[in-house]
Amino acid sequence: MTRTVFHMRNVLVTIGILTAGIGIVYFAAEFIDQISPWSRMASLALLAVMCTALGRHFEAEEADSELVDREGWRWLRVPTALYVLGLVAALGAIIVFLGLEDLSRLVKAAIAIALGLGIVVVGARRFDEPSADG
Amino acid sequence: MASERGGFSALQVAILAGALLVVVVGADVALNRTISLQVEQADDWQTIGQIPRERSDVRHHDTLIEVNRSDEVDVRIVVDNQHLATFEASYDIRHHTERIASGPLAADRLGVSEERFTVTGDTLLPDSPEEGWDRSRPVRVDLRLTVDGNSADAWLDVEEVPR
Repeated sequence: MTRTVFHMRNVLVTIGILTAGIGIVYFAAEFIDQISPWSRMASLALLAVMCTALGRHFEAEEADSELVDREGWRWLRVPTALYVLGLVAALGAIIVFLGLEDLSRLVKAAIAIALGLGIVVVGARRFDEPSADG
Repeated sequence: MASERGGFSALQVAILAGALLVVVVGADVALNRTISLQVEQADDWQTIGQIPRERSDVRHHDTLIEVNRSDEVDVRIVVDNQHLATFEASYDIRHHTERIASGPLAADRLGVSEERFTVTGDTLLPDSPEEGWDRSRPVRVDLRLTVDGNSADAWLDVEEVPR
Protein backbone atom coordinates (compact mmCIF):
# COMPACT_ATOMS: atom_id res chain seq x y z
CA MET A 1 0.00 0.00 0.00
CA THR A 2 1.41 3.40 -0.99
CA ARG A 3 1.99 5.75 1.89
CA THR A 4 0.12 9.00 1.73
CA VAL A 5 0.74 12.26 3.54
CA PHE A 6 -2.90 12.95 4.26
CA HIS A 7 -4.05 10.32 6.65
CA MET A 8 -6.09 10.85 9.79
CA ARG A 9 -3.18 10.85 12.22
CA ASN A 10 -1.18 13.48 10.36
CA VAL A 11 -4.20 15.68 9.73
CA LEU A 12 -5.21 15.61 13.39
CA VAL A 13 -1.67 16.24 14.60
CA THR A 14 -1.21 19.13 12.13
CA ILE A 15 -4.53 20.69 13.12
CA GLY A 16 -3.62 20.33 16.79
CA ILE A 17 -0.21 21.92 16.37
CA LEU A 18 -1.58 24.78 14.27
CA THR A 19 -4.36 25.38 16.80
CA ALA A 20 -1.89 25.36 19.69
CA GLY A 21 0.44 27.71 17.80
CA ILE A 22 -2.38 30.13 17.01
CA GLY A 23 -3.48 29.89 20.65
CA ILE A 24 0.00 30.82 21.90
CA VAL A 25 0.18 33.78 19.51
CA TYR A 26 -3.33 34.89 20.54
CA PHE A 27 -2.42 34.48 24.21
CA ALA A 28 0.74 36.55 23.74
CA ALA A 29 -0.89 39.24 21.62
CA GLU A 30 -4.42 39.70 22.93
CA PHE A 31 -4.94 38.21 26.36
CA ILE A 32 -1.60 38.81 27.98
CA ASP A 33 -2.25 42.51 28.65
CA GLN A 34 -4.85 41.51 31.20
CA ILE A 35 -2.37 39.87 33.56
CA SER A 36 0.60 41.31 35.39
CA PRO A 37 4.07 41.28 33.77
CA TRP A 38 5.39 38.62 36.16
CA SER A 39 2.44 36.37 35.40
CA ARG A 40 2.99 36.93 31.69
CA MET A 41 6.55 35.73 32.00
CA ALA A 42 5.60 32.79 34.23
CA SER A 43 2.75 31.69 31.98
CA LEU A 44 4.89 31.80 28.82
CA ALA A 45 7.70 29.95 30.59
CA LEU A 46 5.24 27.29 31.77
CA LEU A 47 3.91 27.02 28.22
CA ALA A 48 7.48 26.46 27.03
CA VAL A 49 8.03 23.78 29.68
CA MET A 50 4.74 22.10 28.80
CA CYS A 51 5.47 22.00 25.05
CA THR A 52 9.04 20.80 25.40
CA ALA A 53 8.05 18.15 27.97
CA LEU A 54 5.35 16.90 25.59
CA GLY A 55 7.95 16.89 22.81
CA ARG A 56 10.26 14.84 25.01
CA HIS A 57 7.41 12.47 25.79
CA PHE A 58 6.58 11.88 22.13
CA GLU A 59 10.24 11.62 21.22
CA ALA A 60 10.53 8.69 23.62
CA GLU A 61 7.24 7.17 22.51
CA GLU A 62 7.29 7.30 18.74
CA ALA A 63 9.54 5.46 16.34
CA ASP A 64 8.30 6.96 13.08
CA SER A 65 6.43 10.16 13.50
CA GLU A 66 7.21 12.40 10.54
CA LEU A 67 4.22 14.46 9.47
CA VAL A 68 5.21 14.84 5.83
CA ASP A 69 6.71 11.78 4.13
CA ARG A 70 8.66 13.77 1.56
CA GLU A 71 12.33 14.40 1.02
CA GLY A 72 13.37 17.52 2.92
CA TRP A 73 10.37 17.44 5.24
CA ARG A 74 11.21 14.43 7.38
CA TRP A 75 12.50 16.70 10.14
CA LEU A 76 8.89 17.80 10.74
CA ARG A 77 7.93 15.28 13.37
CA VAL A 78 5.55 15.56 16.27
CA PRO A 79 8.34 16.14 18.85
CA THR A 80 10.00 18.72 16.58
CA ALA A 81 6.75 20.63 16.16
CA LEU A 82 6.23 20.64 19.93
CA TYR A 83 9.81 21.80 20.47
CA VAL A 84 9.22 24.66 18.01
CA LEU A 85 6.08 25.67 19.93
CA GLY A 86 8.11 25.53 23.14
CA LEU A 87 10.81 27.67 21.52
CA VAL A 88 8.25 30.31 20.51
CA ALA A 89 6.84 30.39 24.05
CA ALA A 90 10.33 30.55 25.58
CA LEU A 91 11.32 33.46 23.33
CA GLY A 92 8.10 35.20 24.37
CA ALA A 93 8.95 34.65 28.04
CA ILE A 94 12.43 36.10 27.54
CA ILE A 95 11.04 39.15 25.73
CA VAL A 96 8.53 39.72 28.55
CA PHE A 97 11.29 39.26 31.13
CA LEU A 98 13.50 41.85 29.44
CA GLY A 99 10.53 44.23 29.44
CA LEU A 100 9.92 43.97 33.19
CA GLU A 101 10.13 47.33 34.88
CA ASP A 102 10.65 45.97 38.39
CA LEU A 103 14.26 45.00 37.68
CA SER A 104 17.15 47.12 36.51
CA ARG A 105 18.55 46.60 33.03
CA LEU A 106 21.84 45.36 34.45
CA VAL A 107 20.12 42.70 36.55
CA LYS A 108 17.96 41.60 33.62
CA ALA A 109 20.96 41.35 31.30
CA ALA A 110 22.97 39.40 33.90
CA ILE A 111 20.10 36.99 34.59
CA ALA A 112 19.41 36.47 30.87
CA ILE A 113 23.05 35.72 30.07
CA ALA A 114 23.51 33.44 33.11
CA LEU A 115 20.26 31.61 32.38
CA GLY A 116 21.16 31.15 28.73
CA LEU A 117 24.62 29.80 29.51
CA GLY A 118 23.14 27.56 32.22
CA ILE A 119 20.62 26.11 29.78
CA VAL A 120 23.40 25.45 27.24
CA VAL A 121 25.59 23.69 29.82
CA VAL A 122 22.77 21.62 31.32
CA GLY A 123 21.30 20.78 27.93
CA ALA A 124 24.64 19.71 26.46
CA ARG A 125 25.66 17.61 29.46
CA ARG A 126 22.41 15.97 30.52
CA PHE A 127 20.67 15.23 27.25
CA ASP A 128 22.19 12.81 24.79
CA GLU A 129 22.54 13.56 21.12
CA PRO A 130 19.84 11.70 19.18
CA SER A 131 21.01 8.60 17.36
CA ALA A 132 21.26 8.59 13.57
CA ASP A 133 18.34 6.19 13.14
CA GLY A 134 16.09 8.63 14.90
CA MET B 1 5.29 6.40 32.96
CA ALA B 2 8.13 6.89 35.38
CA SER B 3 11.47 8.14 34.17
CA GLU B 4 14.53 5.95 34.24
CA ARG B 5 16.04 8.04 37.03
CA GLY B 6 12.99 7.82 39.23
CA GLY B 7 11.87 11.46 38.83
CA PHE B 8 8.93 12.88 37.00
CA SER B 9 8.26 11.58 33.53
CA ALA B 10 8.07 14.05 30.64
CA LEU B 11 4.30 13.62 30.48
CA GLN B 12 3.94 14.32 34.19
CA VAL B 13 6.08 17.44 33.83
CA ALA B 14 3.86 18.62 30.96
CA ILE B 15 0.68 18.04 32.97
CA LEU B 16 2.18 19.77 36.01
CA ALA B 17 3.26 22.76 33.91
CA GLY B 18 -0.20 22.99 32.36
CA ALA B 19 -1.89 22.89 35.76
CA LEU B 20 0.47 25.54 37.11
CA LEU B 21 -0.22 27.69 34.05
CA VAL B 22 -3.97 27.58 34.72
CA VAL B 23 -3.40 28.42 38.41
CA VAL B 24 -1.04 31.34 37.66
CA VAL B 25 -3.26 32.93 35.00
CA GLY B 26 -6.47 32.29 36.94
CA ALA B 27 -5.10 33.72 40.18
CA ASP B 28 -3.69 36.76 38.44
CA VAL B 29 -6.93 37.53 36.63
CA ALA B 30 -8.90 37.04 39.85
CA LEU B 31 -6.59 39.25 41.90
CA ASN B 32 -6.24 42.01 39.34
CA ARG B 33 -9.88 42.78 38.65
CA THR B 34 -9.37 46.45 39.26
CA ILE B 35 -10.08 49.77 37.72
CA SER B 36 -7.13 52.08 38.04
CA LEU B 37 -6.58 55.74 37.45
CA GLN B 38 -3.07 56.40 36.21
CA VAL B 39 -1.15 59.51 35.40
CA GLU B 40 1.82 59.88 33.10
CA GLN B 41 5.07 61.12 34.51
CA ALA B 42 8.43 60.97 32.81
CA ASP B 43 7.20 58.50 30.16
CA ASP B 44 5.92 56.19 32.86
CA TRP B 45 2.41 55.56 34.15
CA GLN B 46 1.79 55.73 37.85
CA THR B 47 -1.33 54.41 39.52
CA ILE B 48 -2.88 57.12 41.65
CA GLY B 49 -6.25 55.54 42.38
CA GLN B 50 -7.64 52.04 42.17
CA ILE B 51 -11.03 50.40 42.66
CA PRO B 52 -11.29 46.65 43.11
CA ARG B 53 -13.94 45.49 40.66
CA GLU B 54 -15.87 43.40 43.13
CA ARG B 55 -15.33 45.19 46.40
CA SER B 56 -16.44 48.56 47.64
CA ASP B 57 -13.27 49.49 49.47
CA VAL B 58 -10.95 51.90 47.80
CA ARG B 59 -7.22 52.03 47.87
CA HIS B 60 -5.55 55.39 47.75
CA HIS B 61 -2.26 56.33 46.24
CA ASP B 62 -0.68 59.69 46.25
CA THR B 63 2.04 60.81 43.96
CA LEU B 64 4.04 63.91 43.36
CA ILE B 65 3.97 64.85 39.75
CA GLU B 66 6.15 67.53 38.32
CA VAL B 67 4.93 69.51 35.34
CA ASN B 68 5.94 72.67 33.65
CA ARG B 69 3.70 75.70 33.88
CA SER B 70 0.52 75.19 31.84
CA ASP B 71 1.78 71.79 31.00
CA GLU B 72 -0.61 68.99 30.14
CA VAL B 73 -0.85 65.74 31.97
CA ASP B 74 -2.33 62.58 30.57
CA VAL B 75 -4.58 60.62 32.89
CA ARG B 76 -5.70 57.21 31.80
CA ILE B 77 -8.05 54.47 32.92
CA VAL B 78 -6.80 50.92 33.24
CA VAL B 79 -9.30 48.12 33.74
CA ASP B 80 -7.98 44.72 34.77
CA ASN B 81 -4.50 45.82 33.74
CA GLN B 82 -5.80 46.72 30.30
CA HIS B 83 -5.55 50.29 29.16
CA LEU B 84 -8.89 51.44 27.84
CA ALA B 85 -8.99 55.18 27.61
CA THR B 86 -6.81 58.21 28.02
CA PHE B 87 -8.22 61.31 29.61
CA GLU B 88 -6.61 64.58 28.74
CA ALA B 89 -5.98 66.72 31.76
CA SER B 90 -4.45 70.14 31.70
CA TYR B 91 -3.38 72.26 34.60
CA ASP B 92 -3.09 75.99 34.27
CA ILE B 93 -0.80 76.67 37.15
CA ARG B 94 -0.99 80.46 36.80
CA HIS B 95 -4.76 80.56 37.17
CA HIS B 96 -5.06 77.57 39.44
CA THR B 97 -7.49 75.81 37.19
CA GLU B 98 -7.47 72.39 35.77
CA ARG B 99 -9.57 70.55 33.30
CA ILE B 100 -10.22 66.90 32.70
CA ALA B 101 -11.92 65.90 29.51
CA SER B 102 -13.32 62.42 29.19
CA GLY B 103 -12.22 60.42 26.23
CA PRO B 104 -13.79 57.49 24.44
CA LEU B 105 -14.23 54.52 26.68
CA ALA B 106 -14.90 50.89 25.88
CA ALA B 107 -17.79 50.78 28.33
CA ASP B 108 -18.84 47.35 27.24
CA ARG B 109 -15.66 45.92 28.68
CA LEU B 110 -16.60 47.43 32.01
CA GLY B 111 -20.16 46.23 31.83
CA VAL B 112 -21.37 49.71 32.69
CA SER B 113 -22.77 52.51 30.61
CA GLU B 114 -20.52 55.40 29.79
CA GLU B 115 -22.76 57.75 31.74
CA ARG B 116 -22.00 55.84 34.92
CA PHE B 117 -18.29 56.21 34.43
CA THR B 118 -16.96 59.60 35.36
CA VAL B 119 -13.71 61.23 36.23
CA THR B 120 -13.91 64.57 37.95
CA GLY B 121 -11.23 66.86 39.19
CA ASP B 122 -10.96 69.74 41.58
CA THR B 123 -8.00 71.90 42.34
CA LEU B 124 -7.33 72.80 45.91
CA LEU B 125 -6.28 76.41 45.59
CA PRO B 126 -3.44 77.89 47.59
CA ASP B 127 -4.39 79.91 50.62
CA SER B 128 -4.02 83.25 48.89
CA PRO B 129 -4.99 82.94 45.22
CA GLU B 130 -4.54 86.66 44.54
CA GLU B 131 -0.91 86.36 45.49
CA GLY B 132 -0.39 83.83 42.81
CA TRP B 133 0.90 80.39 43.19
CA ASP B 134 3.45 79.90 45.87
CA ARG B 135 6.04 78.01 43.89
CA SER B 136 7.53 76.54 46.99
CA ARG B 137 4.33 74.59 47.50
CA PRO B 138 2.79 72.08 45.16
CA VAL B 139 -0.78 72.55 44.01
CA ARG B 140 -2.94 69.65 44.98
CA VAL B 141 -5.47 68.37 42.45
CA ASP B 142 -8.11 66.03 43.76
CA LEU B 143 -9.44 63.46 41.35
CA ARG B 144 -12.42 61.20 41.76
CA LEU B 145 -12.99 58.16 39.59
CA THR B 146 -16.49 56.75 39.86
CA VAL B 147 -17.68 53.53 38.32
CA ASP B 148 -21.07 52.10 39.19
CA GLY B 149 -21.16 53.87 42.52
CA ASN B 150 -17.65 52.85 43.51
CA SER B 151 -15.32 55.79 43.78
CA ALA B 152 -11.59 56.12 44.01
CA ASP B 153 -10.27 59.37 45.34
CA ALA B 154 -6.79 60.25 44.30
CA TRP B 155 -4.76 63.35 44.29
CA LEU B 156 -1.91 64.85 42.39
CA ASP B 157 0.51 67.29 43.86
CA VAL B 158 1.44 69.40 40.88
CA GLU B 159 4.76 71.10 41.25
CA GLU B 160 6.70 73.24 38.86
CA VAL B 161 9.92 71.77 37.60
CA PRO B 162 12.89 74.03 38.44
CA ARG B 163 14.27 75.48 35.24
